[in-house]
Amino acid sequence: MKLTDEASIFGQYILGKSIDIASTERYLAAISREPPNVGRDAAIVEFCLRHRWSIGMLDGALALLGRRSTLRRRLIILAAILEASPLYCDDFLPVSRSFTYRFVVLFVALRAVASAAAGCLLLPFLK
Amino acid sequence: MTSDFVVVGSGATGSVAAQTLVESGASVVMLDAGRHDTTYSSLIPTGNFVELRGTDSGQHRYLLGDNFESLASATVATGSQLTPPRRHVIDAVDRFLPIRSSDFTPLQSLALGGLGSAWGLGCCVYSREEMNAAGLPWREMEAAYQVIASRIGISGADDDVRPFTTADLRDIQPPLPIDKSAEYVLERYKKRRARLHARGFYMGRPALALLSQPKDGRSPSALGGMEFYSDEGRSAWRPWIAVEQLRSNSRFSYISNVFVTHFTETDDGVSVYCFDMQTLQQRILRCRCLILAAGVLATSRIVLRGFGKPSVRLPLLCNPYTYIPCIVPARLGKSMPAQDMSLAQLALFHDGGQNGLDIGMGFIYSYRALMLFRLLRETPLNTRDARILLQYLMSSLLIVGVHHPDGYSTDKYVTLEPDPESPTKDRLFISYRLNDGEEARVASRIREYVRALRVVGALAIKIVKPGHGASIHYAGTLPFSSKEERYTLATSGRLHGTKNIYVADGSGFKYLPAKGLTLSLMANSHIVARNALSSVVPR
Repeated sequence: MKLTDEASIFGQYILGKSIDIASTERYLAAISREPPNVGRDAAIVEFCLRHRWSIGMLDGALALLGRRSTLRRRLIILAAILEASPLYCDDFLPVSRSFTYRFVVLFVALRAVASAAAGCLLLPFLK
Repeated sequence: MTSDFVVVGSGATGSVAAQTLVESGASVVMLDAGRHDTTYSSLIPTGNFVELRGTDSGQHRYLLGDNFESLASATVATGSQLTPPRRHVIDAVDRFLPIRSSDFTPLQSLALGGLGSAWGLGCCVYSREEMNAAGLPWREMEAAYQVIASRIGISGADDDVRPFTTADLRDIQPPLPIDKSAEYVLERYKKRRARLHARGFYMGRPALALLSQPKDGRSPSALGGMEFYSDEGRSAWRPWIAVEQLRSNSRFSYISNVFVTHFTETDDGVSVYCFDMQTLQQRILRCRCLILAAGVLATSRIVLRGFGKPSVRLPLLCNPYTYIPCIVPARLGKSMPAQDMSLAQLALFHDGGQNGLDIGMGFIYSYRALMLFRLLRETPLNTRDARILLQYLMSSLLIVGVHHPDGYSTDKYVTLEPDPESPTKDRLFISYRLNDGEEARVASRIREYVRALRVVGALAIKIVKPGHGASIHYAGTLPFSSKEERYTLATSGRLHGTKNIYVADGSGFKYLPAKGLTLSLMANSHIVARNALSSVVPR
């Protein structure tokens, strides 16, 4: 799969929306400076791109077990690029939230834990 | 070429020494590597951090770097807080200042302004007990503190931490406003002051070399929160400001792109050996008096080479450093004001023994003008959900950086060893290990800090040890001594075994208080420069 598609899929995963061409181009430039994606790391990225439902799970599992993995690095790189764009910075800057937003936060936290647990089960099958 | 004085280094100590000498009528040549930013400073618009984020389409260049420098560090490490416009501070260091160490990661600099270009601007005076332990002459130091404070401009408050920050210094400008989380914590502290004092904790506004009022053509802080990125309005004092002013004086010469390796001394003066950093061609400059202000680690290299015994072990001091990310639950889900500065909001000192010695220093920062992805990288959750959670937590997040004092022990030293790859053919070997007693004191102090922070409404979520060297406070390689022994300094700053070579950085400090040392380094440098002046009779 092309890196432009990868940027688009990862952007959709991080922000839940499509990302612009400039951010995609910056992602390609940043990835070109990264070490080559080979071996198991490459297999994990490839699996995520083919099965988008698995990105959150494997990302969560690798946040615990493999922070330097290619998938984690690439997601953080794209998050940084999006954060440094006026189009998406509001998704990263603090905003005022109502008291009831705490329930959303609780749900998100539980989802994160559950997806990491599922990812830990899935990870050993990817080689 | 022969001059009265050669000053090596343009950092906080070099610039102060040069200014003191020039103001006294001496001619000074400053030798400096002089690396500086040529890429980013012109890209950063005037304005505040939050507004620029929503409007500036070029922000990715100075936030991430043209080569994505901000993304390079995979883990918490010394210098990881350097934003792309500050990365020149460590430019060329790996090549010219190589180090081998398994337990110490220092930050060194070849920049114009040295490490002072990335200084957090915190100002503290040492207590008399601390000065005695460090080997500093307290009467002269107290006068010198005032000279430096008047030169650089300091803002601060008259509150519980004043004895630790500006003490009796005059002409202190009013403090800058602090943000809502810091205000909340400070109010909690005031209500629980007696309880915290009984535990030895004192909280207040830090004194900062950041102007709140105009001074000498410099502007007060615009509260834009861009202090990690630019020196807008020169409201923050940086050594390059002093060097730039000196360059308009005919008695001052600034030579950049040179790397000083060693010295020799004869009856009629000092020869300073250096090389051009591009061609590696050697140069020799003659002077009547040499003042080394290259920073503790670089000065130790020059002295070890100068005395011709590179394998001698020199002792080393460095403040152990821990930081504690905290959540202030009362501030969850709040927005952050557009106008605020991004430097230390509060200071929390721990004087457990109530004896003016063995004092811990905590500086409290909001996570305001650094990017969220740095936290995403450290969070053990998937990126999508961590973004949502951290966005919610960010306004309630405080980072407490705790410095611990340091004294000599056997496993802390530096020495030079051969390195054929290096332009100087050597590299610095550094060993730095705390003994069991020191480890226990650091751990105990951190527990005390965590408890005190809880009392003021800040809950610690993690204790991070970024590794030795991360405090960027180094000292003690050439301790002050009353005996004329090599590898020590006279109290005047003169290098024992020489007549006209002085050391103006922190190499002489025999004890390193936890308090931010830059103000004390500058005060000591002023004293050393005056001592050097009096020993070299003007022609």
